[in-house]
Amino acid sequence: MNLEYFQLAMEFIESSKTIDNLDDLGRSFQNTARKLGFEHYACVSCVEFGSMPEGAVFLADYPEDWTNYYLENSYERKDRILQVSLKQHLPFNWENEIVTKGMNAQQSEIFSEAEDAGLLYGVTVPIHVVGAFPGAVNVVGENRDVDPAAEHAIHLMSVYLHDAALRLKYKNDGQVEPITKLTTRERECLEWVAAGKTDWEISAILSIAERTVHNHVESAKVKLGVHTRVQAVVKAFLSNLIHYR
Amino acid sequence: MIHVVSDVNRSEYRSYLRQLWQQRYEVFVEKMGWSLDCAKGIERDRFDHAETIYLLSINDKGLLKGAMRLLPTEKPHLLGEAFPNLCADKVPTAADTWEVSRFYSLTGRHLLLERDRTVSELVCGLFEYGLMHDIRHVTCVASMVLFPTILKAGWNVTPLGLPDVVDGEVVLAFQIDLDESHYQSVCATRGVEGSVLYNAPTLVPELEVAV
Repeated sequence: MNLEYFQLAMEFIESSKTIDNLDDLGRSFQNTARKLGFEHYACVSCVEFGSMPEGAVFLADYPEDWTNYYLENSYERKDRILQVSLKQHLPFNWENEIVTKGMNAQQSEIFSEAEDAGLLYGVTVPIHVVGAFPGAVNVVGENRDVDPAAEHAIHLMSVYLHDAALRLKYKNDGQVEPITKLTTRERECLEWVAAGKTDWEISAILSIAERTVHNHVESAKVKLGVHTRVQAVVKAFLSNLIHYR
Repeated sequence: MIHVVSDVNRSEYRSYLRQLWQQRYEVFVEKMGWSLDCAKGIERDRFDHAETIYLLSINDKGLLKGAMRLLPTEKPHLLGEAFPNLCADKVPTAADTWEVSRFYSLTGRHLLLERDRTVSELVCGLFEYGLMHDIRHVTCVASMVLFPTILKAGWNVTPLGLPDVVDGEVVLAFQIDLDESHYQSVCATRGVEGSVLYNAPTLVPELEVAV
């Protein structure tokens, strides 16, 4: 175990627990990442950056002209890195064949442009958490010769960075959770539950099996993050997901 | 509800423990593909002994839906015996520090699904039991794939070392603090109200006699 890298990672991790704003959080991460050989970083949710949904994070320090150019061209829609990180659960570097194989011409062009902007050696940590948009933390440097232990340190720090960024985002936006989408059937079933109907009655109204009604209500409960039917109805009403029938 | 099984009430849970070994085989050997040294269909190792404590999640119908295993860190345990190199410093060993292992739930699609009731009860049951019996910290080894979800539960998680590759899987050793304020925040995050423990036998004196 590389003690020095572990201590560096721990300095950031401890600071991430108490920092109360996104700017300081990003700066603290970057300071440590630089000591590990990575000059730039980005911690993003895999969404369209032009119209960021609530509950998405975007925290980055890339060369400014590159960031602007990237955003102007909506490169996040094509970016190979984001595409790969949606399917991966563990960190990968940008020269890995899971990135290079199957890359289209436009995606390689983006890579060349990024290299011209000074983004040479990159590592991406995909982050998949239940109840949040898929995320990715990228760190980029000029040196290909990175110690595997340094990448392990980056991996660990990235998970804490993303977690703290989400927490601060919710705190500052005053929101609780991203709003869930219900299917038409789930919505109909919940509306009839709200109207006091039993599963059997709902099954007759909608001409579907009683068991299916039960499953729709259960799945709505999971999506809403509640444990009882009453909670599901109340939360769905308050979130404007269902309406009084 | 969460049933605490230890030396004092083990005989009442014989059939559940048999189910536990079977479910652990299905989850850890068959589903997760861990290369554990065990008989076919039964996953039980040398850490499943008289001093081991189990939290079993048993539903209204009496079915076992998930579990975790607790070992005192002052005695041989998984982190100390199998993964000491995951700790940058010494492996934490103290009377108030226990180790959690073989944590699983059968009810979620994802092993640690955030809103999985079984996971919520096991986690809150761990806090409840720990606070009652002066367990202030638990140590654990888990896959880095699950770690973001573990971190999000609302507790204080401190890595004990850097992640490392074990058996083709990137894993991390970490410690979680069990204190009153984090108990509250974990219950709030996971939507659990009140006690989840079915029984709470007084274990500590018996354990001392057993030594």
